Amino acid sequence: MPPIEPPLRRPPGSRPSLRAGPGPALPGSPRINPFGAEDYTRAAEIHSADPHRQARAAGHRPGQSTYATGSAQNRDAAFASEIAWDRRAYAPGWSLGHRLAPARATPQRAAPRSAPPARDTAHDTARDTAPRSFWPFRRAAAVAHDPAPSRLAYRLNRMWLTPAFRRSLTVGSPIALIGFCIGLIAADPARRAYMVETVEGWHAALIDRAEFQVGTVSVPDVSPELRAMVMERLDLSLPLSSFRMDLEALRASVEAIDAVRTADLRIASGGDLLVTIVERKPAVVWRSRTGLELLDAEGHRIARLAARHAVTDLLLVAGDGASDHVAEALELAAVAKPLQSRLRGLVRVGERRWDLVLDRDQRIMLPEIDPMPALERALALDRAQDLLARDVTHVDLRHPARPVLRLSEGALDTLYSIRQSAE
Amino acid sequence: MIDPYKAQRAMRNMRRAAMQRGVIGILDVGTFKIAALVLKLDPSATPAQGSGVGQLAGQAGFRVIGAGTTRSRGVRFGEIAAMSETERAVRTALQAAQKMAQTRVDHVILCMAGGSVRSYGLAGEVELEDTTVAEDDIGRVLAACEVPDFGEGRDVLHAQPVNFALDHRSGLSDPRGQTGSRLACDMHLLTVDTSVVSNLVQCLRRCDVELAGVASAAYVSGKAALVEDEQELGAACIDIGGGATAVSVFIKKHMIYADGIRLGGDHVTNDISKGLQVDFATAERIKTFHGGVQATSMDDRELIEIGGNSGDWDKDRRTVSRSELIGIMRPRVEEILEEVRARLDAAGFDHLPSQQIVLTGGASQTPGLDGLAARILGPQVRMGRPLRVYGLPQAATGPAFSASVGLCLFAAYPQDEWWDFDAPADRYPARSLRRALRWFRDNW
Repeated sequence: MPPIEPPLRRPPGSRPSLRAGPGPALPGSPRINPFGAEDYTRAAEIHSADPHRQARAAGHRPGQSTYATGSAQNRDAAFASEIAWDRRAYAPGWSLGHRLAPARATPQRAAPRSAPPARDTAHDTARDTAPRSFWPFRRAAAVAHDPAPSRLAYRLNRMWLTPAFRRSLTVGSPIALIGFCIGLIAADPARRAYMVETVEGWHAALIDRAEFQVGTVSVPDVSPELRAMVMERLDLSLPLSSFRMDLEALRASVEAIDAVRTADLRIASGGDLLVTIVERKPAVVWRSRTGLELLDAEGHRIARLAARHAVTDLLLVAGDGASDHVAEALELAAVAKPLQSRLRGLVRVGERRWDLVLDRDQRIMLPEIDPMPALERALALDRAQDLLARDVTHVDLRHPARPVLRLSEGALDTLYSIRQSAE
Repeated sequence: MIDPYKAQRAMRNMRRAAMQRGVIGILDVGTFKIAALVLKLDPSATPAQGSGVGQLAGQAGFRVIGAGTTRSRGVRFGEIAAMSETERAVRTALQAAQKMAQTRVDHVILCMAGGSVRSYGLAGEVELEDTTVAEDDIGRVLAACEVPDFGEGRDVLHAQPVNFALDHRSGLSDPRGQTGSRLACDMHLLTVDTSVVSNLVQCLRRCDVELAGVASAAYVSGKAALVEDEQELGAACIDIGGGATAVSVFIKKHMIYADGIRLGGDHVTNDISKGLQVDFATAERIKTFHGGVQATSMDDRELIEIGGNSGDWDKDRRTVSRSELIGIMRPRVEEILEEVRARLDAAGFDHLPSQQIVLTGGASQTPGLDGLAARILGPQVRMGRPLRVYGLPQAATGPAFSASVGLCLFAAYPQDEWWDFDAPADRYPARSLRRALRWFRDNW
């Protein structure tokens, strides 16, 4: 190890300038521009002329080495990128998680008054590059800061990082607190009732506003009887808030009327309840055990009929269970169009098959299965041989392989006598 | 052979528990700094393309989610000297890492450079009962290794099988399922002072964490700093830390020798502190900023302000040239490297096919160290940085963190050690119930 020379004291400014100044910089040594001037040549001229005057003019005090300062700063800058993190790593008290706990050099004692007021530039540079606290007040430098958490703080921190504990504290305890408060408030029945009453009052005040009131009901395009029936069924005590109306239930009650096929309820502007109704269309008159009834094409009852002659243009059907097969009856009646002038109606026999009843008490008895071909066959016979104009009471087509004609008694006698005379 | 290393087995079980939980802590207790990392073990974790983190060298499968470093306190030569101080420093580092990871760490894997490690080469040989090598044959051959008397007060830290030989074929890494009649194995045994380890364990216990493994810093920094071909062909990793220097020799991807020297960067700092009559922190700063070991003529002209806090103007204005600083530092660095040379010579490093030397550790960042080391240790010297792992902060990627990163790899992919294989049944204590259970498990 070479002997360490004691540091020489030189008069201020008399140190030979090794690193600063014009001329080619040594390799690896950063070039110094102590004046911060952009024009390097000009700075060099000034420097060669009188460096210390310029230094003084730039605000430096004697006793502070301009060159050494510049040198230290520049070297730091040059090495900063290479050893930036290392410097932080080597700075005492630094840690990855303690960015805010800055490295602190050992406390600086104030220089005695007698010494020239010099700043320790090297130390200042090192300290300036160290991360600083954001805390606006600098702590007293004399207090040695121990970055280590206390045992209690460490344990609490670990507990806080336990997921279950954390969740119970951040989620569980607020919920529990709120629940407890609500429970406490709602424990008193009088207060509960008061709250319910208050809320209902607010609700009623809102929905009973004039804007929501329904004052009239209009049922367009229906007969006055049906309109009256609808009004009776709706049974509304107007005016009424639209929020208090159950339109679905009202619609169901309107559609429960036999004459109504579908109903559509709408609250139109101006507080008008618009009831649009599609009526059922009468298709047949059914003479049942209880009386005469009007049915639509689907066999649905429309209304009771006081007398048959009130409605003459509709087909008459009779017999139990006829209402369930109205569509078939209508089809048969349509096929039997050539006999329309003679057709009195259709009778459901034994709730299983149809009889066509003509005037002169003639009947065409149709089978239970496939009545249509049988009827067409009877019509063909009538067309070809004028069957129904003869003295026949029943055309029995119930068995397709064995059609039977039932003659009236006179005709039968005549037939017998002809046969006997022929023998 | 004696006890089947209950403590090591217990630590393995603890490690397995940590793996299941998915979070494990890494703690490198050094003389200069204490580094704590938090690993999230996730086998499906794939680092982004182009991040430099590979898949093959054991870097995948985990992610660093927390890191904390603090100045070490109460540690000398890699060993605990003042436990309460060390405990505070460990708490600081662990809390910082936990805060960054936003999770608590219950299991920690530890590495240490001190404890005067000694390594032994063991050999064992057994006749196979069957013609093929089964799992329990490995256990038998490991148990058959002749363990030297390493003395009182020492514990086994690593016992790694490094080579298997089946009849005349040697160099097998995994002989299981192969056919032969005689199985031999070489094992590398590393012992440390029991007191040093138990001090560290005690320290960790006071920090409320469970120990899930202990590793030698020499081994783990070699794992992190040596690249694959160096580990395969033969290389020495020299981890120059603050208070201790760890030496490990690798070949065929196994550590075959490890040693520790109780010298390090702190001694250099100490020399500077004494030589320049400054306090330790200033000496450290001067060493870090201006230090070196190779003086040039330029350095005579480069004056370093020493500074000081004495209040005496003359003393606080002292300067020293960089060559003087180098003059202080170089002999100590040479001494360290010569010690390393002596250890490597003792280990027979000259006989390895490749004699790559990798310098790592915080003190290896001294400028000019590689040139000096090339003179003393041999021509093939390079500076080593740890492997890149997923999620490691930039600030923790320097050579000072080789041991920490190696410990991450160790935690995620531990090498098979002796206690990972079941000892043969006849070596179990005469507990008939356990033996019956074992028989039941083996045969059903």
